[in-house]
Amino acid sequence: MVKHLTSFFTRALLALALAGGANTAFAGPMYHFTVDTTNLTGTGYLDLTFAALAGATPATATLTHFTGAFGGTALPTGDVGGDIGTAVTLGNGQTFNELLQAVTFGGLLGFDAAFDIAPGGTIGTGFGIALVNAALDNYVPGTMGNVASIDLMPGAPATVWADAAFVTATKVPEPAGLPLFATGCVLAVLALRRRTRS
Amino acid sequence: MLKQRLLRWSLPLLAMSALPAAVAQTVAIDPATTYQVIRGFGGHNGAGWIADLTPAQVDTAFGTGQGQIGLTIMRMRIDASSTAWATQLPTAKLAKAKGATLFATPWTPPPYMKTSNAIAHGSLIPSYYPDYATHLLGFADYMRTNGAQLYGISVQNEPDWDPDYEGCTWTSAQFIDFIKSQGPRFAGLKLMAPESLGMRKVLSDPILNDAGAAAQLSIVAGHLYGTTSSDYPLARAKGKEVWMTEHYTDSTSDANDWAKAMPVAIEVHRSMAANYSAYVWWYIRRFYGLITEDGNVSKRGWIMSQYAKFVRPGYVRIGATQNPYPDVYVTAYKGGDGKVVVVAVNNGTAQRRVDLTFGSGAPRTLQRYVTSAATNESYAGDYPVIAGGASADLEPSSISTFVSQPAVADLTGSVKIVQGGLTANRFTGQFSGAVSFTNTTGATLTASTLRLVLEGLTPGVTLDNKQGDVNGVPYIALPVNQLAPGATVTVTTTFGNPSKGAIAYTPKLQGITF
Repeated sequence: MVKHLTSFFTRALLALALAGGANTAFAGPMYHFTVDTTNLTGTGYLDLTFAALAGATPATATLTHFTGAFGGTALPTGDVGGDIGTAVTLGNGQTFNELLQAVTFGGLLGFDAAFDIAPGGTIGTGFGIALVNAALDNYVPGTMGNVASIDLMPGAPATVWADAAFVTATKVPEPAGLPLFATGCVLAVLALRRRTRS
Repeated sequence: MLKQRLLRWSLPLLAMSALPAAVAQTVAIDPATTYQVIRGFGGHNGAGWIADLTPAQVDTAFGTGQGQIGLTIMRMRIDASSTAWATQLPTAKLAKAKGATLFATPWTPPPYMKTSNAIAHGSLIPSYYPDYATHLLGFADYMRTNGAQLYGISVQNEPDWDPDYEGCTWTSAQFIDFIKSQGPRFAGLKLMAPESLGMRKVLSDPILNDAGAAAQLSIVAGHLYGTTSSDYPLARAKGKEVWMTEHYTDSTSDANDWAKAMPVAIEVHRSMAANYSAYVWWYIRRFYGLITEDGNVSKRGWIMSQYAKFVRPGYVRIGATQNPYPDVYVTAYKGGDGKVVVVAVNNGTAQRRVDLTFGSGAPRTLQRYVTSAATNESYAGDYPVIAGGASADLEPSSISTFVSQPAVADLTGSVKIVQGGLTANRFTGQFSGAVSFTNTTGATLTASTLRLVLEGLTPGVTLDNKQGDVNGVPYIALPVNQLAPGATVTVTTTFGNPSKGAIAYTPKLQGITF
């Protein structure tokens, strides 16, 4: 009876692990971005875009932990929800999705970005970071567009580019990976114990 | 006896007299030798000064079908008052929708910015440089937000000409100061200057020799009044394209006067031979223009069409014997669509035979189209290329265009195609993304040219880095012409999408064999 219970428990754990694995197939990478505006003065906007061709594999970007001199004005376009106080979510339901968030230049701006992309499909999504002037009529001096970008492809590693003069992008260990790793360890220990007993 | 002697002597003499017409001269075409990239052939739309082009005339000017010229560039005027800008919009939108490259030229800044405080005469007051840049950018923004994204913008029309109508004089030093200080604001637009009256290098040399100004300048533009086309080695050395942005060969005679039309062919030839990337006529529709007031293509228009309809944007001029006869003028081009185009102008009164020879990449067949006093871009037969060559007789006073006919194979089923995410420029409305092709077969895919074809591209969206169209479908050549099993090649696509709406298309891979 106890053996059957152990077997049932092991199977349940395996099912849980498989479910976790399925979840991680959907989960994409997480990055921490630091945007350096120390050489800029005045105010402007942090321009965050999420863009894809029609029919792209569904993807989302969840942006959290905003730090720095952010202002209250937020100008969203397209599939954008939330706010920088909690979390901003950008989807790729439309080709162009954008959040213009007011900032005061002169310091460091930071935020975390977690990306989820569904498995399958052959059309990716691009995430971009740019800095826009206060008049909203051009990018800030010294830039002509994005200062960092990530190309997200289903079933493939993300491609990250950053203009080192403005942005550092650091990959953050995925939280979803830690419980999966712990589950794996428990399963391995259980399997070893069963072999030892038999 | 005497009769026999006379015959013996006269026959060789007769044969010798016939020699110039019967003996062919060689036109050696070398696709491996390349010169300038061709951006196109176009004209100025005079809306605001003369009647705007009608929609039907836009089709005639920018369409590529029967009875149409195939222009690929349209120039327009930036009025000193923003209240008049709407005048330019309808035709600009129609031309843009037909794939035309748009650029705009100001004749004068707003009067209050000038020393003359009038639309005529004077120069731009330096303290107004930022405001003038804002004025020009305002026009570009107006066109962009209304579906007519500009490719380029000029600083000033004919700065070395001081007429009693709209004008403004500029020195090289003034150009340098303006371009250096305001140039960075024109990101996403090709900044053009100086558009002098006669391609005066004395005006543009100092701009090119100033590192700060040269870095901001994209196109050296100029007109051909009082001068002829000539190479500009300094511009090439600085990596700048040269565009001829306004000229007419004659404004006093009917555009259908054939003798007065032939100089158009010579001028376009010389402009191409001088490494110009664009040739832009003055008023598109005018009694001396490319289209006459009745809306029909004129002889001058048909001559322009011999280049414009076949030498498409993105084509590259290649090596060719330019003057196989003193009165025959030849240029040749190749495109990302695998086509080779040869344009031959016979400006003489005698028929001229030419042997077109190809050192490499010989096509299988050349189709020929001829414009002359009697014909308008008429199909003149297929010329098979045998042992790397084809012969043709060029009629007196005519323009012939020879176009190769490559074979097209659909290789889409042999590759996995992945379309990457897009990066967006919120100000220009340009979206860029990568497309990769992986050979999923066990055999190497080989062609003269491999190209990405974008079928069903969303209306209103343009492929800005296209190398050409086939029946209106844009394409980009891959950087390789072979793809081994399992190998991957990637190309970048840049879309013009001013509305920032959805972009969709079906990617196809085609193999082109000459």
